[in-house]
Amino acid sequence: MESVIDSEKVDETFDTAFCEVTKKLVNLELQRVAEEDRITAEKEVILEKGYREEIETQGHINSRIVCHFSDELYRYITDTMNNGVTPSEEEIHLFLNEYINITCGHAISSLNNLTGKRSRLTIPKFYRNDDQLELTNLNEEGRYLVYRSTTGMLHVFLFYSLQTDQEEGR
Amino acid sequence: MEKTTILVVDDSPFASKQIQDLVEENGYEMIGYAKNGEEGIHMYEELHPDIVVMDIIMPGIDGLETAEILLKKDPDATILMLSSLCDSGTLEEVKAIGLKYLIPKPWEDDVLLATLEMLIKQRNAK
Repeated sequence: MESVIDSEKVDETFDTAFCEVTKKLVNLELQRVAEEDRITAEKEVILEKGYREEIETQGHINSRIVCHFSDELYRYITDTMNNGVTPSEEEIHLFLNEYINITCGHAISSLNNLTGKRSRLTIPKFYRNDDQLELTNLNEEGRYLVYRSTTGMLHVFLFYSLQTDQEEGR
Repeated sequence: MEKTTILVVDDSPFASKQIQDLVEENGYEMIGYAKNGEEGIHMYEELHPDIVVMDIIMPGIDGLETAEILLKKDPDATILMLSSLCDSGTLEEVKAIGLKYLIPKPWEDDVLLATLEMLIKQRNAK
């Protein structure tokens, strides 16, 4: 069954995916930080350090999703996914790639089922502290989700557009 | 009695390790691990596993294309697809190439084991 989705639904779907999948994969509760509780400086601080993953979706929903993991959080996630053993610096991206692949795949699957249309995920890309990653449209369009946990913070930048039937060639 | 052999094709070492631990605790033998489709095809031809457990989203040729190639080479190949993308459209694509099952990531261990058992029964009944 097809239904129309709006930005609130997209936001809610990604929020559910990040919270549920993180709990299931690494047994960690993510607490969404309400917009009114966020401080502007938080954005600036997190752009300076930590690791990032970027993934895109193509199809009915064209999106770019960037996750920024604080040092504490990525260490917890990668250690837990690696059975409690700290992976080597060269292996970290493999675990974070899988984390974002599963969380975003979960969200996109839900949105695909809601709309009755298709979107596919690209292969995730990993960025280290000193790699440059453009977040130019951060304040223009898209959503910014912030999560706290007992072991660090996760920032999710979500930029997307929905294809019309005409754009999809229907 | 010989153990059922499994080849895992997944670019994630996390997924392959989890599958290895699970299947080996339950009487299977994981005989190989390929990090992409091309490697998976090569290892399938070399190792002749009873079952291939394969991810869909991988660098290079994806899991669906890899499964199609394997089925052309060996129509009796037994393949179980895994993916974080588990919407009805993806399931239709899996069925369109002649496969029956798609397990969502992160998977439930008992679902994965039950599906493997089902595949073995179907394979043995051929």
